[in-house]
Amino acid sequence: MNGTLLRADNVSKRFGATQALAEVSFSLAAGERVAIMGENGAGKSTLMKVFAGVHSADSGSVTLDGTPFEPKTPYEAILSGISTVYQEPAFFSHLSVLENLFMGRQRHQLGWLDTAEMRREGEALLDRLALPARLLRRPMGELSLAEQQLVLIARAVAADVKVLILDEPTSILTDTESERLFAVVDELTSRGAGVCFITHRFDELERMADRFVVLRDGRLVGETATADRDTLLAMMGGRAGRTAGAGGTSAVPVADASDADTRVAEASDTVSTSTAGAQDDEPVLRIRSATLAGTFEDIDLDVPAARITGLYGLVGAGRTELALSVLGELGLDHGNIQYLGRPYRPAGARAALAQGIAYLPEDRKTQGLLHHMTVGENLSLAALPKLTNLGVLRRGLERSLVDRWIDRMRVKTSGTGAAITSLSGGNQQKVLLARLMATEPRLLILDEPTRGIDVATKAEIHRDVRVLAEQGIAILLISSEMSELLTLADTVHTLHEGQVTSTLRGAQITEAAVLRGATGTLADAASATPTRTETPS
Amino acid sequence: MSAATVAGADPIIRDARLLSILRWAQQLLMPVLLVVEIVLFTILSPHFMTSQNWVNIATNSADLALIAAGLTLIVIMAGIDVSTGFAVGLIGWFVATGMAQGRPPILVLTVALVIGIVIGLFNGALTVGLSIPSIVATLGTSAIFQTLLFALWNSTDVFARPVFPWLSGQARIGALPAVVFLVVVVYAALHLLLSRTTYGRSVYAIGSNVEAAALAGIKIARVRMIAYVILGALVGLAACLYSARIGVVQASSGSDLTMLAIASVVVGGTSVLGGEGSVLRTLGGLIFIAVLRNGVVLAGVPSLWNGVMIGLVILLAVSINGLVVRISRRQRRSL
Repeated sequence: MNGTLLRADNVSKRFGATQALAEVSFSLAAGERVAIMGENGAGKSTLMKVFAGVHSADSGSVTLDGTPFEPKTPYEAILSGISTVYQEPAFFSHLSVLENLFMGRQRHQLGWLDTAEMRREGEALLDRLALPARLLRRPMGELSLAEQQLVLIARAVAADVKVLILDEPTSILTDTESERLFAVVDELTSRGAGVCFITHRFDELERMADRFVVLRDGRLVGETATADRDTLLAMMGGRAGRTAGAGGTSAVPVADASDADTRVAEASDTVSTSTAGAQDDEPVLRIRSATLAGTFEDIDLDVPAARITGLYGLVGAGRTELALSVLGELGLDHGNIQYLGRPYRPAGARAALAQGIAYLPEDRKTQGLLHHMTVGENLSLAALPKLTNLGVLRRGLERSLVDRWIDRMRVKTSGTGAAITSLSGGNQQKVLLARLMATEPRLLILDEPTRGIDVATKAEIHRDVRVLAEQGIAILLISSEMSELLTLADTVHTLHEGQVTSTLRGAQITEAAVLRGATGTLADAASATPTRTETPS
Repeated sequence: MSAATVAGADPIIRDARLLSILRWAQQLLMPVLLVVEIVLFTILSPHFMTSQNWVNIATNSADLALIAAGLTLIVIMAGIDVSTGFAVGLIGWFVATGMAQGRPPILVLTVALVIGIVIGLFNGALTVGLSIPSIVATLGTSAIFQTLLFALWNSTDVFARPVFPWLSGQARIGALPAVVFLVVVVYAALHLLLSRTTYGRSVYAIGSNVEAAALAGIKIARVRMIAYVILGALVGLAACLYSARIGVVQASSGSDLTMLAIASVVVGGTSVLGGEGSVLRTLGGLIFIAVLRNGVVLAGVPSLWNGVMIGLVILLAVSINGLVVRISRRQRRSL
């Protein structure tokens, strides 16, 4: 191989409390294919976005072809020869494929579009990915996800590309489509371009890359030239030392279980006798063969009272979608759900809340916070029906409810009348958790409860969640953070491409086992863990 | 590393300072402008600072006040209604005709309220039920109301008289026009509705973050629908005041109210992007606009310039709002 094409030295990037990248050094030679690996949130996408001009590094330097490279906008990066295909790509769904291919670099004569020329080039581009030329006229939005992905790859390749960055390009492609992509990549590298992959698919690693770079918690932790699963998994996890301790405390011995359940039965007198009697073996939520086409398939899941049931999966595995289907915000093609021992039909977030199913959404900012309002108003929102008399708000009741929860959750705020935006992210999240708890739910679905929250507050939220479980609430914890599941969950189900790949309990919950399940590489781990059969995709 | 962190924190602090200054400006804009214009008009015209003139200002803007109060609810939920003016004209025609035909006043008042509520339900059904953006939907209904009024008017002006004596500008309670009390009662009621009821809290929640409100169990469609009905009823009431004040209903009756009602709400400081505002702010904006309309005439400025001044004030208010949003967004991103 020839000289270095793209080089990063000690690049750091911080978002609020999160250190997304910490002094990462990386280089890509001409004609080289590198796979960037790591858990969710390890910093892979951030590093690529620094190259692509989406983020600018806080410190450190990047060089392209030996000259300093600091793109201020993605457009500048593209002009310099760095093309990126994002995992959740942006395109113009109402415009035709042709227009999408040439957006921003239309062929023209004195401002008049040279459609014939673009059509010729467009056909050649699609042909490289074995897409039919007739696609050019179709609106982008009408294409299948895989076709859209391929068109965007064609678009990225069309530019005079020196470095091609592909963020999980094959996750929605079939094997033949992936193969076509690899052929194009080979062609590019043989002409001296460099290619960076972000991927979670272990089965394609050898075909994909010459070198594997592993990031963890924003740091570069290792690289290797051989696609050895165990080595890579060990590097990605890398918490072997800590895991033992955390796993030990989290794994509740089975003997304690009945004890906890009795406490629940005593504590909750609202439960009707039929369910209270059956509580020991009857989970609060029982999902059987739940399927939503193209999202998740044949999922069986039990969420027992007084336990924390973890759900781990990489981005796109269908975790959030499953939660939304339980709420009724997303559909369910078939399958049946029982809640408190009775058949349950999802009918939207409001109906779910009324029945005691509370959902903490993944995105605090867009789905949770009322940005203009106070801490108190944010907290009492979901419990308002309990605080009114003929529609008039009983402010005394509201204040005492808010005070009680601020105290219980130890929310750090200057007062209930403070603006919610004056709180730190962690304390905002506590307010949102209190909002749900104030409705006295039986089942709490937490979707990424500590994303982007500082370490100290994160620990407090973990403690709160554990206390809630001890009080008898069934908790479904969706998380892509390994350490969170290791410390909190009593049971962990791993999801991979919409299917439950393993169910781990107590001491079985180890970093390696969870990662194996989530990456769909169970074959060699099957002996160690009781698994559901993994159906070939 | 640490140097980079400090450098990164600097603009955040600067933004926070700028933001709090702008928030102050947003709050103080209206009172300051009000004082400035009152001082200005007092200097420019000897007739301005008289009790008779203040009574005129009050009676001339009571109908506008009712519309602006109802519109505030819609705007807090990030919606808008541009059909209020022609709705007033249309209902005003029915009121004037009913009175001219000698119908019982109570019937006329009831009909006005019912038509107003039906109009509100219609606007609500389009925006809530069919998810048409409120500006587009009400632009459409506005055109319909305008045409209906034109057809009903049929080149014959209808002379109007007050439905009830106390609904006219002439009636007094003590030294004050009776309509002032009506306006005060409506504003007090809506203020309590917004600040003391679950309904009011839901209005702010929807305006602030509709997705979060839905996940928290708020009945979005119902809350929005009720707001349109309240606005509709107030439009019906305003039509009774309006027709009595103007004295004659024509094809273009009410058309100026749309713009003035939106101006009152926005200049008062209710954000067009939703989530914040109050009817008390609207009352402030309304007084400002009412005084401006009155003072400009008394000061001998050609009424031609009236619209330009109101337009400039709206732009000033909205641009401060826009700046606040831009900076707070930038700040939120950096958190």
